[in-house]
Formats: sequence, structure tokens, C-alpha cells
Amino acid sequence: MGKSDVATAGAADFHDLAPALAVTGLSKSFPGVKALDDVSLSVRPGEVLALLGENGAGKSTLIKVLAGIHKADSGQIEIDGVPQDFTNPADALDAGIKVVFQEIALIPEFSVAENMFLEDHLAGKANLVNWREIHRRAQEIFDRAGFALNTRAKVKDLSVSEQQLVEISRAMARDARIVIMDEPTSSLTPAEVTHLFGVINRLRKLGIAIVYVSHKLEEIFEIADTCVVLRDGRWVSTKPTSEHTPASLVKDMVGREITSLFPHSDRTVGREIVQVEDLSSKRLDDISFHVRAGEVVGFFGLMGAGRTEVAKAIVGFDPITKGRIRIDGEDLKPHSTVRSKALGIGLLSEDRKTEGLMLDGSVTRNMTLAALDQFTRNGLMDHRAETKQAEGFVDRFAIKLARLGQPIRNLSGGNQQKVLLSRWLMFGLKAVVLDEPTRGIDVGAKAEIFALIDELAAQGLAVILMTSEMPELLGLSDRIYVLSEGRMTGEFTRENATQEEILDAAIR
Amino acid sequence: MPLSANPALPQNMLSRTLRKVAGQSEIALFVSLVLIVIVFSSLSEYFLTTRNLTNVLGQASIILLIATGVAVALIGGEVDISVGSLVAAVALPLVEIMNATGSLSLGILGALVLGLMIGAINGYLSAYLRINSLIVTLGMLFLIRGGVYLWTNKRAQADTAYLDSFFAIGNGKAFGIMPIPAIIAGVIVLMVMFIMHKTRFGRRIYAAGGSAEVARMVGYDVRRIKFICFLISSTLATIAGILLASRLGAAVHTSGQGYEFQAIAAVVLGGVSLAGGRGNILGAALGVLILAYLSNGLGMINAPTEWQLVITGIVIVAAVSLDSYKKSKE
Amino acid sequence: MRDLTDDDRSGALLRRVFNSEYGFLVVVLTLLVVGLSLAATNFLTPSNAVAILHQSSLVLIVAVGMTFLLITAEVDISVGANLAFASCVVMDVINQTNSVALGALAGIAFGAGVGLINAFVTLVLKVNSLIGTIAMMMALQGGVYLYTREAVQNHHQIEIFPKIATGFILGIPVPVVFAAVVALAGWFYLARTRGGRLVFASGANEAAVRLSGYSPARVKFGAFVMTGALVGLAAVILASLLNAGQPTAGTGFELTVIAAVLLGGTSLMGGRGTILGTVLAVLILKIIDNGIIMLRWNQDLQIIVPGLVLILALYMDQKKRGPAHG
Repeated sequence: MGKSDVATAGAADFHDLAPALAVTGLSKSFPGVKALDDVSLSVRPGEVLALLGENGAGKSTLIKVLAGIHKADSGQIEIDGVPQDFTNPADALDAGIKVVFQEIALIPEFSVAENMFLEDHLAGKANLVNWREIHRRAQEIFDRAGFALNTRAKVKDLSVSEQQLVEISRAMARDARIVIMDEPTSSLTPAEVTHLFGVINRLRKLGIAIVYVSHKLEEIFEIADTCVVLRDGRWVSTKPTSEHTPASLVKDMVGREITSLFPHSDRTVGREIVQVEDLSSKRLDDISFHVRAGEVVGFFGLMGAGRTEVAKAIVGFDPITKGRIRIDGEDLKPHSTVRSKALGIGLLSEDRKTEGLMLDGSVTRNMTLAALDQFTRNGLMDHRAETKQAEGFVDRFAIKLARLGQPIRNLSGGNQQKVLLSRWLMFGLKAVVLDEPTRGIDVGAKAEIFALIDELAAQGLAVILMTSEMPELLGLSDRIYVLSEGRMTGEFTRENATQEEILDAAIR
Repeated sequence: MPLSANPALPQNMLSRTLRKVAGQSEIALFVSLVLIVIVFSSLSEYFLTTRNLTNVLGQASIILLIATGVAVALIGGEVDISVGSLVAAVALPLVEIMNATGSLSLGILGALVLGLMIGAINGYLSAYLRINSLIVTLGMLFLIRGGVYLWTNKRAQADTAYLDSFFAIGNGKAFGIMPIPAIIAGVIVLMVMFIMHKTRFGRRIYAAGGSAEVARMVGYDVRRIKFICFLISSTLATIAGILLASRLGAAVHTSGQGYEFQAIAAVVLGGVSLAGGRGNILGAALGVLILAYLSNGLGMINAPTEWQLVITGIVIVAAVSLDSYKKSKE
Repeated sequence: MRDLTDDDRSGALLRRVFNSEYGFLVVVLTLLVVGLSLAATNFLTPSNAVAILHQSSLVLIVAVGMTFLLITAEVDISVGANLAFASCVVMDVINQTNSVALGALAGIAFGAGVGLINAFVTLVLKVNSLIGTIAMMMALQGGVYLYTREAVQNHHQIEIFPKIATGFILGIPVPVVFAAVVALAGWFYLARTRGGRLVFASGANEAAVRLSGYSPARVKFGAFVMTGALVGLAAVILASLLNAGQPTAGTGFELTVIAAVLLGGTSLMGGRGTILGTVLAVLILKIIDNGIIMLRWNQDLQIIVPGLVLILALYMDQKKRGPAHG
């Protein structure tokens, strides 16, 4: 990949430069929480600074302060030595800070070029939009940066990684001095990540300072010059990446050493619970596989390979065109979620907000949604039994909440995920499909979810794990299936699986 | 450089201009409109006459103006259903001032002032106090209609000034064929199209409706943009109200009832999304014309007027379900 | 200083009442009753109370169905047109069969049939229910005139028929009994049954309900058909009240019903709402109506006030929830 020579080339010159961005003693409180407490950092032109920390460590607050969304209670932000005072996002942009958020901030219905010039549309005196100039300037920036983007394409038709390029182009259109990237690779394929790193290196050569926020340690070691770690809103350490090991970084982040992220208990594998033969749908082509009781079977694939499609098809959520799905010997017919639940298979969706949670509903109501029948006597709800069950699960999974009646909106991502898992465990399944169960969850909560997955399998459940995270896949799975463009392109056992071979199958 | 990018190729230029003016769905709408005209022309000898075709334009101009305003609000991510009542309300100051002063311009001024006031109230409540605009304008729909009843004691206020100019704006014809209201509406629709596509403000309306969060982060004053959307929608409805009063020769307290639903239906038929930020004025205008010619054609073949309502309802359902079917296929 | 703290405390109490789920509605209702009793001597009489309940019943019967629909995040604009058409059907069928029961059944079946079509258009054709039911409203408005040119008069002269609207059971007006039964059943279903739980869940997150092994489409289907059937029931009462099937009867009815449901705290976005709120809101609107007559104010105010109340209620609601939920 040639990363090391680029990194050292960058490293050679930026150390002598004055910081492009310097933050000193930044503090910010919200009612009840001190989100940032006396945080300082600086980043020089051409430097890639990694900002690390668990969820709730203060990263997003810091980013939002730098983006002009929040106002700091105290502390100073300097750009090229000039103190700044942002009252709104436009101020930060004008000062040269561009944040590329995880949830991409573009207008989906607008063209690529229009999105790059949203601020003023290059309008002249009469406030008329200069469409020709917008497209010309956009093309110019793409040529300079080497992006293969069509200026007239609508943003909604682009992939996530292409949308990121549009965001970065937007920064270049505004001559941004500092680009902050918030978990930019969370929904990218490995190839796209490599491409993004190429882009970052190009920005670095143009003298742009980069703040890179990520959970993924491999990436940090590949791209970052310096690591700044935050914990509980406070600054913990600032060190060159070369002085860190993965273990030392994790230790700084969580304040303790996580010995085994991926527990793998010895378990007895039982009969085949899930049997899928020749499954085809709009996006899937002749998929066959089986999963046994007490087994964790991982599905790997790049974006759009069909993982979520498989997950939704085998629980009857999405229609299929062909094939046979059997759960514990029974056919999934009619092909519906009502039938699949009766047969004992359920899905934990990758998209918590739109397919899992009732955000304004109470924790209890969210937790008992699948198991309502258990609390029903002659069609009537037994609220007491319901509450009691919910309390049991809160204790068992150590779900952190104020009270069961509070809206689930206010829980952290990890706790929300535990509630959704409880939803299925309360119902009692033979097989569970987990689609990206740790997306958007911090390191500490991830370890708990991993332990839970292992425990489920140990109890004899057939667990199907859809994931795009290689460590998670290798650490948890007993067997691995690989998908590529809706086809099955590989099957591995835990023993013979290697990262290279899996990736090879994924791009086949 | 790839060949397809060569602007000198005439074919390319044609398709590009076409694409500039209209997307695929607008072309489909236009084809439907042409089909309606062809079908009714073969069914009735009176349909395809210049006189009839232009007359329909004149009749449609009132809904066209209202629908254009409603479309702007919808594109901006808000809905305005108070327009039907507003049409009746603005006719009152118009007629009363004209009757008292004998001046058309003062009357129009009065109507515009009232219309803008209503728009400002809608806008303030929805955009600044952030109350759901469907409910705000639903409430205003009641309020304004009740106000009109109170003012008029449920009697039509006749125009007793008999100004030729006032008669002309609703009933006159340019060059002996083209109804004046159609020209007024046409010019205004073109202006709005220009604003929405060519000016910075128009693009900001699209942005605010498509993604208010992003628009705010870019530094747009989203509240102000939405506020102005309500002003636009009430201004266009005011103009419609003036044209209608001229046609009726009076301020009629019951006029405009149900126009809000007709306008929304036409606009949605024309491809404007209820979710905001999507669709365009050309499509909305085509939606209005399709419904107008459909209804006129049914009248021409002596279908009872009631059938027109029924068929309009069915056409709307068919069009929207076809659209959602297409989207699900994508 | 003492005064200030006392003030604070009473202020806090008032705020708490306002912020509780029905507090605001109860306060408004109480103020209205007390104020009107003082202002108009004939307001607080049994006969007037009966009159208010009487007028509330028609709206409430349909509002219960609409509450269900809005909670599932759907809406039905066609209820007014449906009401008018169904009332004609009721009268016509009784005229032809001389059976009140058959007429009532026909009316309810007609209303439910319209609900069925609305459900089909929304759930199968996937047309946004706001647009689909506007189209249905147009079709019904046209259709009713194809069905009958003018009001369907009472040709059967069955004695019991007018009693549906004007009779009493144990001293309670018959329509009130109907409305009370409908509201109680609706409340019980939403608050206590599994089905009710699914109504809320379907509005709050449709995909989650489906993934949890239930069918939100079935829930919504039920809500549409139920609303239609309740419109049919209301149409029986309306036909009896007017002693005719009146094709123009339902104008603006849909707006009154929706205004009441929203005022009662049901969310337009789905997932939130209560029958008790709807009941209180219907009473508030109808007491205001009644008060306007009692005070001999201009009756056109009856159209203005609901609009004003609706906007005010939403504004209070917005304030209560704070700008974060904007």
C-alpha cells in the first residue's frame, strides 16, 4: 500500500511548522455532565492527528465545538495563531475548519457540484445561481484531487464513500485549512478505505491539517502521525503513533486493559437449526448454507455484498424469488416474519433507529415488543408480569438506565442494543440473526456484546453474525461464509480462516 | 476528452436542453396531458377548439396559482392548507375598498396586505414557534373562514363599483382568445420557476425542505426561508382570490372551499413530494393542467359533473400508486 | 421573600398540572365550565348538559376511530364525505326494506367498505393516506350526487327511527350511550390489550413491529376499517337526527374530528395518543360551541374558536416538550 513512505515523507516536514489549529483548555458542560474538561491539542499543516476515545469520552463534543455547533464554556481555539470565536457553523467554515461528519451533511436531491457550493451558489450581484461556473469549479477541484466524480450526479445516487469525497471536495472548494473526519471508514469497504487513505495523503501534501476520529485501531496505525486520547471528557495522552502499541492505546482509552475481547467458550454443536437452499431474491443469487445449534456462523462481505439481504430474507422480512428456508426442519412458508417468529428465528437489525427502536417508547415497551403474547391473558396485557420480566433482563445484562419507564431515546447505543437483544431473548429463539450488532457502540460495550453472543451460543442457540469488521468475524465465528455481489464465494472453518483468503473471496 | 461530452453535437444539445427544463417525470406528465387532449378530441368535436382549450386555461388559472404556492411550501418542507379560506378572505378588502374608493389598485393593495398578514401568521407559528404547519394552517383554515362569515354575515359582498379594469382581470381576453387570468397565472408561474431554479434563494428553499439539518449547518437561516415560503404561498393564493372575485363579480363567503385539497392533489400528482425538497413547479403546473383538462373533457362528453370528481379521485390514486410502485422497483 | 417562595410553589404546582398528560385539558375544561356557569345562568342545567353531550357524541364516535388511525401514523380525510353518503344509504335502505336494523347495518357496512378501500389504497397501492383519502373524499362527494340528487326523505315513518337520535336509555340520550360505549371500548383496547399495544408500536416503528413477528399492515387495516364502520354508526345517528339522508351533511366534519383528536394530544407522527384526551378535547370544543350560543354570541364564532384552540393547544404542547424535540 505504500503507506509508510508517504507517512514519513509527511512527518519530515510538518514538525517544524506552527500549528494550524491549536486548542487550549477547552471545557464544555451540559446539564448534569461535564462533556469536556480542560482539553488541549494542536495539529500542524500536513499532520494527521488521530483523536481517540470511547463513546462519551468527549470526542463528538470537541468536534462539535470546533465545527461551531456548540459553544465552549471556557478555553481557546486558535487557527494559525489567531484566536477564534465561533457562534455558528458558518463561522467555523469561514475560519477554515471543515468537519466531515459520520452522518453525511449533504442535500441528497442536489447534484454533486451544487452541494460543493451550497454556501453561496457562486451567486453574483443579482443573487442568480451561476450553474456553469459551479460545474466548472467542481470539475477543477476533482481534477486537482484526482477524484472520479461526475459533477452532475445526484448525491443520493452515490455510494457512501463517494459522498465522503464530495464532502472533502467541499472542504477544498472552501480552501479549508483543517479537515476533521468523524469515523470516516465506518461504512466503507476495504478498497474504499485504501482509496480514502490515498486521498488523505494527498490532502496532507497540500498542507492541510487533518484530525481523524476512529475506533479502528488498525487504521490509526496506518494513517495517523500523532494520537490524542480522551477519556470521560478529559485529556489522557498525546503521543506519536510510533510510540503506541494497540494494547497501550486501548489501555489509554478505557483506563484498563481488556484481556480478551473475544471470549470463545467450548460448546457442543447440535443439530442443524437453519437450513437454506438455493435462496434467490432481487439482490441474492442461489445462496445455500446451514447453521447448527450452539454455533456462531459469521457472514462477511463488502458493502452491497448482500449480508443484510440474506439476514432480512431468512427471517421473512424481504421477499424471495426462489429457494427453501427451513428452521428446525419446518419450512418458512408463508414467507413472513409472523411465520419466522413462530418457527423461532429473529433478526436484530443493523439499523437500530429505523428498524429497531420506538424512540419515544419506554424501555419496557421496547423490550417486550416481540414477547407480548407471553404477557397476554385472553387478549389482555398483564402489566405486572411484563415489568417483572423487564427488570430481570435489566439486571442480567447490567443495562444502565434511570427507570424502566424512561424513553429509550435517552439510553446510550450500547444499552439500547442490549434492550433490543433482550427483546428476542425474552421471546426465546432457536436461532438469532445479528446484523452488525456492534455498530456505533464503544469499545467497553462491545466487549459485553461479544460475551453475550458467546453465551447465547453456549446456551444452544444458532447464531448468525453479519459483520464487516474482520477482527469481530475472526474472533467470534465458528464458521465463516463469504458473500460477494449476492453470491456465496467462500466458506471457512474457524481453524482455516485467514484474513487474506476471506478478503480474496469477498472481492471475487 | 470523451465524445459524449462534446457540446457541439446537436443531438446532445437537444437532449441536454430538454433535461435542463424537464426531468423524466415531467416528460411523462406532459405525455399524459397530450394523451388526455387526444382522447377527448376524438370523443368530442368541441374539445379541440382554441376557444375551449384556452377557456380551460382561464378556469384552471386560479387553482394553478394556489397550487404553485402550495408547491413552494411543500418543497420548503411545509404544508399550507389555509389557502382555500384565504381565497375567500382577501376578496373582502378588495371589494369593500373598491366599493368605497373606486380604485382597483387600492383594493388589490388591501387584498395583498391581508394575504401577507395571514401568510406571516402561518409562517411565524410554523417556522418560528415550530408548530406543525399542517395543524397551524388547519387551524387558520377554520379561523379565516369563520372570520369571513362574521364579516359578511354569510352574504356575498357584491362589487358595486363596476370598474372595467376589475372585470377585465378575471374575464378579459388578450388578442380575443387568451383569457387574462391565464396570462397572469402563466407569467407568475414562470417567475416562480425561475426563482426556484435560478436564484440562490430558490435553491435554499429546496435545501431547507430536503434536509433542514444540513441547511442549518451550511449557515442558512432555515426559519426565515420557511417563513418566506408561507408568504409566497399566501401571496399567490391572494392573487388567485383577486382573479376569482373578478370572475364572480363579488366577494363570496363560501368561495375557495376545498381548493386546498384540489391544489395539494394536483401538486402531488405533478411529482412534488409531501416529504419536502423534491419536485418542481413545472411538474406541479402540469398536474393542475392534467386535472383541469380531464375535468373539462368529461364535461364535454356530457359526463355528469359528479363523475368528474370521482374520476379525478381515481386518477390521483392511480398516479400516486404508480409512482410509489416505480420507486419500490428501483 | 416568603411571598416569593409561596408564589414559586404555587407556580410549580400549576406547571405540574399543566405538564401532566391531561392536566392542560382538564384545566381548560374546568375553566370553561366555571366561566360559562357564571356568565350564563342557563348553562349549568341538566337539559343543557344533555344537549352538549348529545352534540359531542357524533364527533366523538368518529374521533375514537381517528385516534386509532393517527396513532398508527395514518389519517382519513374522507370521513366527512363518507358520513354524508352513508347517511343517505341508511335512509334509502330503510325506505326500501322497512327495517331499521337492515338500514343501520347497510350504513355501517358502507362506511366500513369505504374504510376497506382506504386501507387497500394506503397499504397495498402504497399511496400516502393523506392523498389517498383526499381522493376518496372527492370520489365520495361526486358519488353521493350520482346516488341521489337530493336529500333522501323519510318515507317509512317507522316510529322508533327518530328515537335513535332523540330517545333516552335510563335518562341518558341514546347517541351518548353509543359514544360512551365506543369510547370505553376504544380506551380499554388501547390501554389494556395486546392489540392496543401493537397500534402504538405500528405508529412508532413499523419495521420494528414487523421484525418482531407482527403485521403492522393488519393493525392499520383494522384501524381504517374500524374508522369507516364508526362513520357508518355516526351516519345512522345523523340520519335519525335530520330525519333524512343529507348528501351535503359532512362538509368540514373531517376537520372538526381531526382538530379534536390533535387537541387531545395525539401525535400527527404516530405512536402517541389517548382516548381520554380525545374525549376531553371533543367536550371542550362542544362546550365552546354551546357557550357561544348560550352567550348569544355570533354563531360564526363556532368556526373560529376550534381553529384558535387547536393552534393554542399545539403551542402549549410544543412549549412543554421544549425546543429539543422541535
